[in-house]
Amino acid sequence: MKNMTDVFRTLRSYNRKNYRLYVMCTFLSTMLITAFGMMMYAPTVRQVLPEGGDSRKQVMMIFVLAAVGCLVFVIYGGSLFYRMKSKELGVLMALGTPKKTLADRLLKEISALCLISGAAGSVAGIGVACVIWQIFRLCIVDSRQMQLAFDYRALLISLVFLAFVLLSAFIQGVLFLKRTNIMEVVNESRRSEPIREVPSWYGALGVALVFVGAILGYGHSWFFIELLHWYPPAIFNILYLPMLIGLYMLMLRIVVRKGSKKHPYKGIIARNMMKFQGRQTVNNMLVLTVLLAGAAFGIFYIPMMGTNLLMSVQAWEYDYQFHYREDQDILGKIDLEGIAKEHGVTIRDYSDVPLINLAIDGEDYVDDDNNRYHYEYKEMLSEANFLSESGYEKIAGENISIGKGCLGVVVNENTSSYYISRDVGLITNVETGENLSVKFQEELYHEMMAGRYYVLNDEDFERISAGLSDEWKETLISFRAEEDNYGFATALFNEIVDHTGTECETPGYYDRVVKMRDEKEKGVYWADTELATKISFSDRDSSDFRLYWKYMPQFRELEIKDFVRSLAVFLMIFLFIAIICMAAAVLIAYTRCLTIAINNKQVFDDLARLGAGPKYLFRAVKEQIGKIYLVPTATGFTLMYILYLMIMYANDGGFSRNELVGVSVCLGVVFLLCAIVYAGYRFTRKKVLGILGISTKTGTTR
Amino acid sequence: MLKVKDLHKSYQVGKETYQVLKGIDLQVEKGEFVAVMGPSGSGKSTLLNCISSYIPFENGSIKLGGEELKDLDETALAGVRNEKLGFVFQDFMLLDGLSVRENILMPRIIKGTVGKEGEALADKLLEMFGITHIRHKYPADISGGERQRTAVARALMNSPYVILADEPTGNLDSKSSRAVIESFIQAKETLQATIFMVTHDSFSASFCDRVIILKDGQIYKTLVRKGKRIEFQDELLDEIKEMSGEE
Repeated sequence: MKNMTDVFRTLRSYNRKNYRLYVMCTFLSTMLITAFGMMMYAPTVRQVLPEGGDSRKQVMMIFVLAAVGCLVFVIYGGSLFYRMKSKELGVLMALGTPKKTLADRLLKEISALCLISGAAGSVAGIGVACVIWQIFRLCIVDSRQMQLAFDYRALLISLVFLAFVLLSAFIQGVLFLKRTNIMEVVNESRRSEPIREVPSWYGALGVALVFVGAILGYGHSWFFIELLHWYPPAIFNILYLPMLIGLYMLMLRIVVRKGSKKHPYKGIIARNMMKFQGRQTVNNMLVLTVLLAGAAFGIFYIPMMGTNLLMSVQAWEYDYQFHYREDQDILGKIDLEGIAKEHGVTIRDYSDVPLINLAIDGEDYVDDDNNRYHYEYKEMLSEANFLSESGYEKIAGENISIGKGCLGVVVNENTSSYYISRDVGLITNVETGENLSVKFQEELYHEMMAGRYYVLNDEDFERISAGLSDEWKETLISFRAEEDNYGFATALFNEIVDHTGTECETPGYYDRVVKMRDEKEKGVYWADTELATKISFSDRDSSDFRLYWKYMPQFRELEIKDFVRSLAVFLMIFLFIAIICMAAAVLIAYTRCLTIAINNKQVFDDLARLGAGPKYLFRAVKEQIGKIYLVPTATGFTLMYILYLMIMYANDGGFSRNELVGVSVCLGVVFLLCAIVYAGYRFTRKKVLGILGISTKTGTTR
Repeated sequence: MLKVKDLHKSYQVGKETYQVLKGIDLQVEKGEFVAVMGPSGSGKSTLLNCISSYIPFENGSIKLGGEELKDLDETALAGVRNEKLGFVFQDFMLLDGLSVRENILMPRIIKGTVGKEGEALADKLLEMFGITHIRHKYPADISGGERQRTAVARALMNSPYVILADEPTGNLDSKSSRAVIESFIQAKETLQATIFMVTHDSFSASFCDRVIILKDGQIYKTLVRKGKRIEFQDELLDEIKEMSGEE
């Protein structure tokens, strides 16, 4: 050994475990963030989660939280790295190595570690995203829409993350070497970081702040938009901050909590060990809580969406219902019966009723400058579907009585005014200009047609539809099927699509009344631009088509059997979020617990020498690891569950039957997630006990 | 060789300021073996850390071979630590990843002057302190006494003006302590090394030429060895007893 390069190389080799731990932190964090970024920026996903939509915002919020969590994890890894290197660096300083020499070598070393592990993490992240995507395709759904398509610009995310990792490692290194007191550097590895006692009300205040933050964060947009008619900028999301502060206070209180008055010495070792590594413990627990809450958010989406859809479908009055424009060459009853016969299906209770498309009036949102908006009354606000009283009776099989100039609104218990307005006062035949003043009379309950149809008195229906061309007239077909099967449903669906002209290749929100108005006022209708989701007959199996096609038939057999295919992209995104967040959480908890074992090995050895038996030592380990896993798990899942309940309630001011079933299923999912965390806890505990040489089976300590 | 004048050092703990050294004046000549004794909190280790330039001090002057340490910048101080000072710590402070011989060579490696001459000196020191047989072993594989003798050898590698030893026998049994102290004496006699040692152990201090007793951050008394070691140890014990009685 002749020079400092040799010395550094030898020391690196000797401390490879320390280096491996840091590399693992950086590698795993970059891998998780890259995988998340690849998925989020995949063209398929971006198309399904439109820009500015709630789902995109929520996914973005979880992504930011996961990125912050991973960054905190890397910083923690960095602090462990410097801490473990401190004695070595202190000795070198004490022997007269200039700080500049140490800084040069250390920063070069840390840069190389970051860059290599970060680059490897990025590559592995792409691999992980591909593998999860392909597993999803192979095991769950393999539609054309689910073709693997990544936008490699998403790698910018991992580059930015890597830059942050590098910067934090640099800052940590510079601050570490900047110390003037060499003895402090030498003794760094033995330094504890105790946290001061906090009063008992800290925990209660923390919980209160969590709720205040949740209410302010979630409710502020409603307050500004609905009451002040002002769209608050994104910076207002800072109102969620009390939630994080509250969580921190709660974790702090749990970590420094004293023993009970009755048994003050019970668990004293575990409590004090945690207290003396308090700051990092609390930070880690906070990150774990956020990640586990993110995982719960992702996974809740699936049962909520699934139960809602499947329960609605189960409640449908007919097995089949579809509507088509009169100017389309759709199959007649005889053709339909022919296809049914081919598939061994018998058609019952067949009905075809006319419906018309009219313009309705109402208040329109008009965006002003400065993020403000106002309402403006429009006589021809949007397009709506109207049935006659007798047509509705034919389908629903019940007698109703709609007065002249009155309006029935078809709803079910989940239909809010967001989907169909009860305040319509004027309806207009867009072709003749004939209009009719109407007023809301009653709600008509029909599960299958809910939220999409108004019902008029027969006389009014005749009068207002006079002069309408076939473009604005439709037929609504409904029937039940005996010996119903998926083959028939698919064949009929394909026949309908094949017989529909390209003029009907439009999404559900495509509104011809708005188009007429916009083209007159602005020259272009936004849904004709690139901004709108493109619906294509050639992609008839895609989520976009199944969810958004304006004339999408409602076939029970198809909805149930194709549920996963129709929602494939949504399922994949949210399942992916859950997997990434859970993986990050378990990895962080595992690393944290390993450092407890490494840092406190001497304490456990001393306790054994003082006569502590393996059971006592086992309890001391279990209490610490248990707390690190249990507290964030309980807090994260409970918080997200409550937040979900709040969201459900805030949607329409109550809980529908479907929502109640959905949240019950979510509760079951929480137990499943808890089981996964528990498996992680058991694995970690085994590993830590192995490091500390505690064996409860043989009753010995090594 | 080493001259300390009116040295002051305080620590800030929360809002409280603790004055640890309250104007220390002392001088150590070349080839002298001097010990500093005193009760806990008297400022022994702080004095040593200030002389080592491990911690900054507020007022006073420390001169090493005529050079004022207070005026030096970080890089120059590193040079002083490497070339003009040698260190022996209570917990050895060897680099665990390097062998005994490599640890001894460290000051030369840092200086960038290993060479054949450096290697020969390392081998000579290994032999002088009776640790040649463990030269390829690592600190974790040798005894406390052997580790401390390795540290003494390392401290001598650059022929420093002064070896600063902080409780060098604090973690050792009596047999190992004696071996370490004897290695200091050997270094003094063979290499004309100057040693400035902080200790609480009257046995170790009794081997010194002179013992400075500190109390409350000030020099309480300086005792010079005139006769036999055992008599000097008794004298030290009496002095400490008397000092304790005053409290």
